[in-house]
Order: sequence, then structure tokens, then C-alpha cells
Amino acid sequence: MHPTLEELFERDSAALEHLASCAECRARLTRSEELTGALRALPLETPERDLWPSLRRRLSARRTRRIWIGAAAAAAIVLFVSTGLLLHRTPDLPARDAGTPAREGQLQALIQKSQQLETLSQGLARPSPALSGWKAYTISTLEDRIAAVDAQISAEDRKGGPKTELVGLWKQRVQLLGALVETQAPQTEEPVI
Amino acid sequence: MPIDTDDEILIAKARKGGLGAFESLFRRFERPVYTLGMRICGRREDAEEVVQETFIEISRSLGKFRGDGPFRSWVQRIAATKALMLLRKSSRWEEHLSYDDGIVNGMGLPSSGSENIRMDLAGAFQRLSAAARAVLWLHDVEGYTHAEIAELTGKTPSYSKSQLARAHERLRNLLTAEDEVKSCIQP
Repeated sequence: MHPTLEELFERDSAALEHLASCAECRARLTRSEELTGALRALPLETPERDLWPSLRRRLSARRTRRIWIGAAAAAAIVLFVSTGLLLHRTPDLPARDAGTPAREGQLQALIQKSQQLETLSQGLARPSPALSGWKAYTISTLEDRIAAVDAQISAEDRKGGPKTELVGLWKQRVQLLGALVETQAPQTEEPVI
Repeated sequence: MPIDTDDEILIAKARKGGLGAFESLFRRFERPVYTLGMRICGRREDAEEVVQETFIEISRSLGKFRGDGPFRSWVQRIAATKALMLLRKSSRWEEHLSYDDGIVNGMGLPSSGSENIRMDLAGAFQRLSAAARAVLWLHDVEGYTHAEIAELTGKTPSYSKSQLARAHERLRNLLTAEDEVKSCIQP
């Protein structure tokens, strides 16, 4: 009794033993192998029409949707930042009110806002080579300015002077971070794909 | 196998948003994907859809391609998934053969020359059931294992093995039947 082709394909010990003594099954297996070879040798098919134009339209439609979503996200971030600034904005106080609870509260609110923006920025920042030269330059400039403000904040902290200076510096930091997030958010050079 | 250098350059450019680079990738892999779609789905319009869906998926996932294997294999795997999804969606996965299943012993077949096999093979292949076509093409041509086919099709490796053997026998019988018809009509 001959094994099935499935059993022959297994090439287990029973199949191999049978194949060793059965020319008919060896021929079956050889014909199957020929069939596989012939399938592999079939020429590639060619579409009857150019499929690129319709694919390109679909890719462009996706790109447009993504740009709109990016713009909406950017608008939301701008709103978030400006609302935050307005909420925490207090009238300028005289220079000699350093250390008052109001000034301290304003400072803490700015620090908190700065941290939120920092987190948001880190979430958006990805070292993508897809950034345009302009965008990369803007981000780099903003980061430099933030670093400069950070240095001033550290110096002010060390001096232990009036909080007014610190509040001003933290305001600057929040504004710069807001601009950074806004620059990072929309993909100005949106990958097509 | 390392990624092809030309592919690597095109992929890098396409990731940056280069439409031209993406079109070059499309031109390079369009025919293998279309062929896979034709073989598995059996219809030109379905093969075209497989091409579209495959390249849309590539556009979404290009960032996830790590380059630790050939790009072609990655593309073909996406194409296979899309083709199988299309078959399932159209409920053709379970379609059956229209010819007599009773002649599948596969024994005593006349030995055909390679040229004869190639001449009628594409037509005979399209007469197999969708499942048989898919398993046979994925295993014998694309080089998938039964375990991988089982994963792609949601079936078991045993199912894949059984389909493969049946597909071989059916295809052989179809080719034999065509040879016999030709010999009858020849003067």
C-alpha cells in the first residue's frame, strides 16, 4: 500500500523507508518537486493598468487628513498654552513684594506649567530626519534660549534675591517652551507615507 | 540576509516623506505583490486591491521596518495578509473545486516535460480552490512554513499540510487532464 502524498511530504522514517523501495512513489515525489519548480519559474504577472495614480491619490488624501489633524492639535496646544498663561498672569507687583504668598503662588504655578510643557515637548520630540531645515533651526534656537534662561534661573536661585526676577524668568521659560511645543507639534514636512 | 542597499536608500528617503522614493519602491515591488494577489485571489480586480492595500499598509508601517530581514519578505508578508483578508471578506476561502475530487490518487501520471507543465500551469493553478491556491503558493513559492501559513490563515499546521498535498495532486490531475484533451484533438 502506497502512502499518501501528505505522508511522503513529511519525509519521516516510514516515508523514507517506503521511498527507498518504491520507484512509483519516488516518481510521485519527483513530479511534485518538478511542479514546485515550475510554479517558482512562472513569470511575474503585470497589471493591465498603471496602479500608481490611484495609490498616489489615496496617499495624498491620507496626507491631507494628517495635516488637518496636526493643525488641529497645534491649535489645541496654542489654546492650552495661552489659557494657562492667562490663568496664571497676575498684575505686575512692586519690586519690593518679594516673598509674599501671592508672588510665591505665581512662581509655583509657572514652574508647574513649565513642567507640563516640558513633558508635552518630550512626548512630541522625536529625532526624526524628516524635520525640515527651518524647523530644525527653530527648535534648536528655542532650546538654546531655554538653556540660557535656565542658567539665569539657577544664578538667581543661588543669589536668593527677590522672587520678582525669578517670576519673570519662569514666565520667559514657559513662553519659550510653548513656542517649542507649537513648533514640534505640526509636521511641517509631513511624510507622504 | 541583510537588506538590499538600494532598498535601504529608498526606504530612508521614503521615510523622510519622499514621494518619488516611495514610487520607486512601489515600482520595484508592484509586480511581485500583484502576482501574489493574482495567484491567491485569482482575479485581476482583487490583485489590484491587494496591491493598493499592501502599499497603503507599507506607507503606514514603514517606520516599523527594522531592516533585520529582506525588505521584499516584509512586503510579501503584508501582501499575503491582505490577499487572505480579501478572500475571507469575500467568503471565497471555503470555495470548493468544480472538478471531480475522485481522481486525486496522483498515481500513474504520465511524466510531463517541464515545458508542458509550465505551458498550462498558470491556468490549471487558477482552477484550484482558494485555500489550495493560497497554501500551495505560500509554501512552495513564497517559502512559508506550515506553522507560518497556519498563523496567517488562522488554521492549523495540519490543515496546511493536508491542503498542500491535495493541491499538488489536484494540480497534477488538472495538468494531466489538459494533456489528454490536447492529445485527443491533435490530428
